Amino acid sequence: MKVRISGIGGLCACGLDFETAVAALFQDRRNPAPARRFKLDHPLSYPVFELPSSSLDEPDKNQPWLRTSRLAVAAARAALKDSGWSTNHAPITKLSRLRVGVCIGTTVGGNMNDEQFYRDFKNHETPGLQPIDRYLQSNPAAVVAKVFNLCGPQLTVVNACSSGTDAIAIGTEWIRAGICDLVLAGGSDELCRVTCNGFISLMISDNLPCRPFDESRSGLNLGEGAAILVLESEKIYQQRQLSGINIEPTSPQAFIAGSGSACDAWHLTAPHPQGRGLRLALNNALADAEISADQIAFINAHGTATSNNDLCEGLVLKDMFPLVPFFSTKGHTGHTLGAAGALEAAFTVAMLKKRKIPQSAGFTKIDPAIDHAPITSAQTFNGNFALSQSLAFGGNNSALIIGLEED
Amino acid sequence: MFPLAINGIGPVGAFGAGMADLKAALSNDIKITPEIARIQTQAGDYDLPIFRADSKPLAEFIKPRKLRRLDNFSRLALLGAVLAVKDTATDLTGPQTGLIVTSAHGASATTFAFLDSVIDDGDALASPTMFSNSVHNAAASHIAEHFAITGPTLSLTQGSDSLTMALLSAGQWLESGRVDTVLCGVIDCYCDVLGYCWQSYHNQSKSPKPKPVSGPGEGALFLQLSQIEENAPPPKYGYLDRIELNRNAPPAALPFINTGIDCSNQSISESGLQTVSDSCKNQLQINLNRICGGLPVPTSFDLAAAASLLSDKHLYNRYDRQKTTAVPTTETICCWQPRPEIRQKPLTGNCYWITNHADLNPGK
Repeated sequence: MKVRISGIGGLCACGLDFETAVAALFQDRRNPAPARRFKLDHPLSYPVFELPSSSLDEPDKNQPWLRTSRLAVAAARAALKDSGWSTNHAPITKLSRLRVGVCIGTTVGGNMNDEQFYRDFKNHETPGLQPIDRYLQSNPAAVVAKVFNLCGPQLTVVNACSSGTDAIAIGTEWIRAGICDLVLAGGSDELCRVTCNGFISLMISDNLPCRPFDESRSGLNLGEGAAILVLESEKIYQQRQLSGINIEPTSPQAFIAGSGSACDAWHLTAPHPQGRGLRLALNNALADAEISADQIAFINAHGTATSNNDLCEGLVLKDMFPLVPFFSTKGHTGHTLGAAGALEAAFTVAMLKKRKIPQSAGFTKIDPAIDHAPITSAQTFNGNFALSQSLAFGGNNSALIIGLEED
Repeated sequence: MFPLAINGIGPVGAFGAGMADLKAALSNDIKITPEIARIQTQAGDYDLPIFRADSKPLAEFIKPRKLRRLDNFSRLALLGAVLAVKDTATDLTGPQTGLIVTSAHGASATTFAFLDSVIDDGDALASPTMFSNSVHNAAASHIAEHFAITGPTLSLTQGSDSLTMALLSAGQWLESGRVDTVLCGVIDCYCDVLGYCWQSYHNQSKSPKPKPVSGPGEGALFLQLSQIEENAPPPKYGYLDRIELNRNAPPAALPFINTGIDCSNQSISESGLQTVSDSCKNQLQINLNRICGGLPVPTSFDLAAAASLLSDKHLYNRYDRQKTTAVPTTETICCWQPRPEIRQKPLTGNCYWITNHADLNPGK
């Protein structure tokens, strides 16, 4: 069953709106820098991809939640507007009469980890409960549902770095199964001192701008952001056009063609050396979409720039899609963890519509161990299907195949 | 999507590990003695009973060397999973098994242990092992690796609705044919910060009446689920017949299990408590808090207790009398749990319907 992508909202270090962010991927500038909102104490400085300053920086009475949920709400608001389901001010009334689910992936947004609260507690002080209240009220899916008055199922996926991809796949299944008419699906994550220290402790953070798939790669740069897709059943999409809710689409329409997910069952932090789970996930996604590997026009790879991820992923892509161009956008966005899969799925939709894919930022020299290179300059492509994939901590592998209707 | 066959159950809590221990606790055959923790709060010091779960039985199934890097959260989850699989003697290896693990708060104790390493030793000496195990899906990774499950794996968190969403996801995977079996579990662990929050929230409550609350608990519950196969023998624990979301009262015509009010670190208002009491006054209730403490996903052990009740035809541990009572003839039980975080009317909750016969659904 075709599940429409009728709207997209996204923000990341490339831009506070999705259009700006997409345009930035095709430009040759990227500026990871030490985090502005917190300090780290390490012998080396580790750059991150932080959002530009905005009204999202601090909680207030209108958005009292954790930053992750504030980003999710901002992306959801933009996605609803893009889809025609909301105006500048509020979702249109008819939306509250539909079964609208919310499925959002995150990592930081599901953690009780307020560092100052814990420092006070550890010092035998008796800290106030405001940080705990904020955490308890900040489940990203619940917040988005509450803000937009949506009454369908709510689910926050915490599958580490594949969370955003998995959330979109689950939202797609909700529509296919007839549980929902619409789903706001995606991912959101904020930069956080705890997570930055964690990745540095694992020795997979680079103190230079990251270089996905490059021979000299030396780790990832963390990032932050959110992306939400409005997924819509074909029936609702047709009905709302007939009832004049939405204007006629001006560009070809995208849809989720298929998804696949599988686990390495191998190691907590390292991918399976032969990419066992990734191969399974990719084959499942192709079968779900009922297409073959040679119908894939391009691949938006996970490409974190860690040694293990890029080796495993590159070898699988070389084997399964030897002629398909691929790239990583993390050289522009950093690794946005639970948001990454959603942002990359959103970028994939935008590129399918533009008929153009960007250079893989940070890549200059092929790694002989991979012997397979991402593209180094923007290029056009033929075909109407693209793949966006995520490999995660814990051995999760997830893939989305996104299609574009013929003109 | 439903009904789903419940083939195996693996409960771990203050009552012990496995269905036999849970039944013994429900029958009052074993006495649960909670640990007492001294909690310092802004309003003074309090002795809080803590219902700890013990992961030591895991050593019967897995060599200690393989467990040395696992935190308590992952150990309890793995123990629940091992017990559920042992209960069915099913081989879950391969891509046709899905794994779903849910938790309200994740491995909070491990997150704070990671922060200990940062605070005590500095950013540059933060513990990579603690960080790895603090990630929400670490427990799922350990379980998948142990059983060589290469199907889809999902970790999710949705407050008190966590188990509901996990079961809905399991049903969806099975119905779509994505997998043949789902190992689905819920896990939450106690830590000192949660104890502090629990006591502080209760201090804030202005209710003049004592809350029917025992103290925070911890534990895991895993279920091995599959779709109903034609001509297959009935599953060991009956069927999960359906789930109803946002029901504003328990069904009037059926016995039901209620794990008790006020199971999380937030409390229902007195008016909400009265609403529940009024609507349930003619029905049988049991309160599991006494044997496992209050859990942030309060429905964690409802299903196990309901399945036990149906299979044994015996109702244990009545809420009001605390003694064993013969259960009226019933083929279906509804577990209804009000959402603890909802403080205003109408009070709503999710219903799980458990039945002995997939085709007999008097509540529908």
